[in-house]
Amino acid sequence: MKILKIKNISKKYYNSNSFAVNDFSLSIDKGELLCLVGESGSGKTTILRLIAGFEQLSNGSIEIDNTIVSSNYKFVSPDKRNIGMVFQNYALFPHLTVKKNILFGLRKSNESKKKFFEVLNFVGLFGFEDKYPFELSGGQQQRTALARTIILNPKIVLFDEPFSNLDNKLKEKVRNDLKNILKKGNITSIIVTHDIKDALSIADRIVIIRNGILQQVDIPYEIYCNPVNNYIAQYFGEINRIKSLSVNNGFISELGFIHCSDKLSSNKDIILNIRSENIEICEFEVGICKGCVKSVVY
Amino acid sequence: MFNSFFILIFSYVVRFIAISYNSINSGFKKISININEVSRSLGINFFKTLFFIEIPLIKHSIIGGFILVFIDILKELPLTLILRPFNFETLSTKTFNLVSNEMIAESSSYALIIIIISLFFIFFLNSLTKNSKSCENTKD
Repeated sequence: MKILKIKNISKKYYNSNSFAVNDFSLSIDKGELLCLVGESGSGKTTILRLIAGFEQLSNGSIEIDNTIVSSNYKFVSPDKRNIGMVFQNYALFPHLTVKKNILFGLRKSNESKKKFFEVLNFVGLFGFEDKYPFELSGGQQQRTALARTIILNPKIVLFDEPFSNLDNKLKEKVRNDLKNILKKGNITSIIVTHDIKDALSIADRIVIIRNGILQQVDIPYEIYCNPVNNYIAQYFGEINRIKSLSVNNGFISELGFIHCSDKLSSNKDIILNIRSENIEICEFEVGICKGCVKSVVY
Repeated sequence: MFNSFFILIFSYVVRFIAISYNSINSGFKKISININEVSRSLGINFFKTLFFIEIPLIKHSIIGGFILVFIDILKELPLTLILRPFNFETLSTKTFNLVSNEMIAESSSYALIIIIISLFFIFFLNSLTKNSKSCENTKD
């Protein structure tokens, strides 16, 4: 079941000549964990803000749970969309304790206390409810922000660069914890990141954006092994680019003749993209490149 | 309306609004815009966000602005002399009148009260600034 449908959306800021997002379309299933990946300024945060309702569309439409929340004719304000958002800096209310932060958006009722302890246990913050945000670690702050969001049962949770404030060691732990929490609760979520490691390790599907234009949407394996263009191939890890000329049974490259079992069209200038883990050192024979290891860098 | 409390207070507001505005504005600038947005995404309306999140976060700036304006009004003379109601005296007008009549010794007690009150509030403002700086670590 599609929980979010984005149809041909565009966004142009009033003081800009170019589109921040241009003709972008996407659908997301319930419970899916999607990563929006792109360089700084590629438009990924703008897409998140358009979904949350903090920006208005220039064109297109956004549907949440089969209801249009944003189009040229309709705009539902952020407080009525039932979408949670976790910011890069977590945006916890610094003068409120963890308990008050989490309960802030919830109406007081007999059930709210029970729900609070359920969520607190769920995110693993039991015992921290009376602490202030500045007394918490980066990971605990993130879990507080997440708890504050999921206690309201939002239809979608949006994360804007949630790992960028964390050091590498903590980042890995927080990343895994977050994935476990989201999957355990079957929470539909969109994570914006520029770090390919984050995207490859936690996403069900990855969306790659460049200059506001959608490049590829696929599962992490396909993105890494079968990128649709050179940009994605280079963005997702180190890659060797070799100018070559295709012939019937292989390529004539700067490194010599490389045999290929697939049938190729002849005399075509191409660029071979070869990932370093696919290069194997072996005995020389015809159809295999000859080379010399001059230096090794770890 | 002339020489009434209303016109005196109105003129104080016009004269000193820039001081309090700058103080409160700098307080708002210290709050991350995400705080407001996250509150909206939690389904909270503008007024609840203002009263329960933004005003508590800028309370030091509000108190600071109040003290700055208070000290300025305490020693304010020209406006008060022109616009004050009949038979109404402030510490500064009393000091001015006594000095005008060459009663320097008598005027000094009023001047001293102005200085003592101002000093007390300056020390208070100073400790408030120190507190708000230590609280900046908690700013998101």
